[in-house]
Amino acid sequence: MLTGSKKETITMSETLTATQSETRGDLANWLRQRARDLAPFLTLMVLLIFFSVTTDSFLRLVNLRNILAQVSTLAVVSTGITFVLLCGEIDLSIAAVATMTGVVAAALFGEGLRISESLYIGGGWEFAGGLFAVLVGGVFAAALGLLNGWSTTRIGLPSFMATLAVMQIATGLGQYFTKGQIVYTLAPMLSFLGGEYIGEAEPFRLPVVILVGASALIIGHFVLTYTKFGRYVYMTGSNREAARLSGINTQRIVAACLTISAFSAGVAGMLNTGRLGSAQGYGLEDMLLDSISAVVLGGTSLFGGEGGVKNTLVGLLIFGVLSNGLNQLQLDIYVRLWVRGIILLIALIINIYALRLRDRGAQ
Amino acid sequence: MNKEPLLRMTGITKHFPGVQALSNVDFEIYPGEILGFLGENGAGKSTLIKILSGIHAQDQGTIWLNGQEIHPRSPHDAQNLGISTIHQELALAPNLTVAENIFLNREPRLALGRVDFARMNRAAEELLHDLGTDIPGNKRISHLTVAAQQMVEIAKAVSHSANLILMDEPTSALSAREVDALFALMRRLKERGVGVVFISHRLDEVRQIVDRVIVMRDGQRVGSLPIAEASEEQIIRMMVGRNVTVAAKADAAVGEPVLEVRNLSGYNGVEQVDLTVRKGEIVGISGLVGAGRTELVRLICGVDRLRTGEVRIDGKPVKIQSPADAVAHGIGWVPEDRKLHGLILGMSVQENSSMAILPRLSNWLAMIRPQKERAIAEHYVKALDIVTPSVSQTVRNLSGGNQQKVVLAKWLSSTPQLLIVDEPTRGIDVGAKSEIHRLLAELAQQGIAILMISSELPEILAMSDRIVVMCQGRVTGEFTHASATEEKILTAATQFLTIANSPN
Repeated sequence: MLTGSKKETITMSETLTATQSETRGDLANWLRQRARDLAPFLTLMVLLIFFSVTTDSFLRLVNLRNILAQVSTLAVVSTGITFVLLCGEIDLSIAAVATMTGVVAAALFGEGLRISESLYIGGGWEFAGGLFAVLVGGVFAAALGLLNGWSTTRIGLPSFMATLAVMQIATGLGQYFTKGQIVYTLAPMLSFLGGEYIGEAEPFRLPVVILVGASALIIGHFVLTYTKFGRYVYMTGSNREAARLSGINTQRIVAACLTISAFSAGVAGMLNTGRLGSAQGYGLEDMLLDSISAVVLGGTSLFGGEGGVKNTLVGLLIFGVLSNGLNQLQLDIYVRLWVRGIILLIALIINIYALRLRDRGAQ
Repeated sequence: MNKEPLLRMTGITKHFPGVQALSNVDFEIYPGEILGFLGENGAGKSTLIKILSGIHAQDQGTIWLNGQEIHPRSPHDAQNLGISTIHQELALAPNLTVAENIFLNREPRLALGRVDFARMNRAAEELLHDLGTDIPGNKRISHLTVAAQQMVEIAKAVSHSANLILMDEPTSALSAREVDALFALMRRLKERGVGVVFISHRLDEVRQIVDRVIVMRDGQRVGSLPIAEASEEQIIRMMVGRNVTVAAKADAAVGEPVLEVRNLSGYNGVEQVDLTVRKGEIVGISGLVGAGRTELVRLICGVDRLRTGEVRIDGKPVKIQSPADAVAHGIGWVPEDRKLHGLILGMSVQENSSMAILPRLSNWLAMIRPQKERAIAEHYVKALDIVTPSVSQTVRNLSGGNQQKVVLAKWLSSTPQLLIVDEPTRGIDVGAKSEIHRLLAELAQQGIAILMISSELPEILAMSDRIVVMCQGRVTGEFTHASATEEKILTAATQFLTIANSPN
């Protein structure tokens, strides 16, 4: 009882019925409380079962591995955007930052390669120069994120507008530098992380990119769940004013989340060049909406404070299973896209209803 | 009053997950009756009101209005049935004007469906004038004080020409003058045969206005009494199930000044305030709503910007430019609106109690040490007697008094030297109220300097070593515990003509 009042004497039979209904109430209560996590999980299960029954190829180990590989780059960006959504902001610049960072790293490595060849410096350059290009790429992406954070917190622009502007800048610069050309000089490290496999025998060859995606999710989960910073992110998203009045510099938290998101986007962009074997100024446009829909599908709130990387993982899997499964069904390509849209909409509707159920249960 | 009841509810039962909110409650109100509906927080008053106003549906039980069974399914439904509600939490659209809020969805029209703003504003102002305030109809809600917003909410409910009006703590944000105006209006409604259900934690108000009380406890109706036959002690005993005495502050050894404020002015209406709070002392700040008391605290805590003046902590001049600076200087602030500014409702008791001290609870990897965090939360749950199934309970599910104690726990765990409490017992039931008073007195005894803002004169008079009165952003009086009287404080609080509708 939550009333804070003293217990009254009640008769035996009343006590009994009260306990029984309370146990049942507790289970229902628990389910309600977890509605945000359970609804997406249920959706995932339904999709898994559906595609396993309707197609022969879906449940094969190779195919399941492909699903994971397909969402791994997305997992890196989605981890970053999870931070931003949790603190109640949005980042529209991620796809553009990813593209631009891929181009910058590749171009930088190419320049270095050209110079080293003209100077007759031997093979040692490949690794060191690759590492340098990747690091500069990461710093570059983080700097764009800081720009997002600065305009959002210091200037007071809504993150929606600030990141929209940075999105345009990054897209424009990416295209300006490449002039529509494709850059093929990739740091070997990126080709390894994005495109190679560990192991030999067929079903057990593990794409390295899965490990990278998993690491991003694990690190994100660790930071959000166990660290002070993670707690601050949730507080900032749940009740920014209360967090600020408790002595938390919420502006710094928001800026940090936007920086993390841009950095993850940069890493995803470079991984993607490694997967494709080239860098170009276009082609990642879907990444923005894909990652945000994956995060929201998983049950993380667009308004901050609720959700987490666990949810993002489920969302990514729903996304991957759905795209892959529809391919396995061999639907007409012109049918596939809108069918996918409808299923995503249904999944989101289920999420909302689950939350209503929860909130109706609460007083 | 042996007529047919205006409204009768029988056998109302409502179960929420984990809580039996109402069990088999009967309720009745007669035409032209003002009914005091009393009980501690969590006793089920608000739940019953919400069932009547169509927000919740009862699990069992029947409702009759004028002898006919009704099933209000939504607030709109209830309104059409002639039941108007003023909820505890204000429900106004902040970016619309006063008149737009009052006449929302039934605006007077001109040709072509255009809204007749002139007529609407005029009608709104007339309604508000009846309530004894002159708030302009075209003013935006967000520019009003909480008290003025409350008046708008009341005007809105009245304007529906309902025959039953439910008021869930309408006076908690109002000054004495506004309460008088509200009471005058309630009497007029009564003459028109309207039934008014009045929920309040201030028993003196209840005595003044109601005809009869119904008392609730633990989701059950304890009894009903004509007010003329009920003594205050009797009512409290019915509500709490035990006797409650109002704690007065014991004298603590007053030491060195902790906070000294000199000639402080801000852009938020605070003008040239001098104030000193010493170790072990409780300084009460009294004044009408809108006198600039909260604004003064916002200046001290670095939320609003200073214009001139100096703040000293422990005798040393300090620059506090953000709430983080204030926390670093050992200032804890229990804000007026605990749900908006004090708590994160979706988080647990544990997470809320540790909000301000996470750096101290973290290891070199910036990881929060869960055992340590839990131990601290459990310590304060015990020390402050917070009623909760466990420290992992979500704060949203606690009653108002226990929520307030969680806010206290948050600040006490940061071991402050100055604790600022803004309306510490607003919306809290009688039992929890005296507990909070006892806690504050204890803290002062332990040497913490306490600055207490309160609109309740009995609280200010009983608890404070010194009383500072503010009016329109300035200090207009200062009294010692011994020399203060209600009259003196009220005179100082109304020294300048007050304008109820201007926040500054």
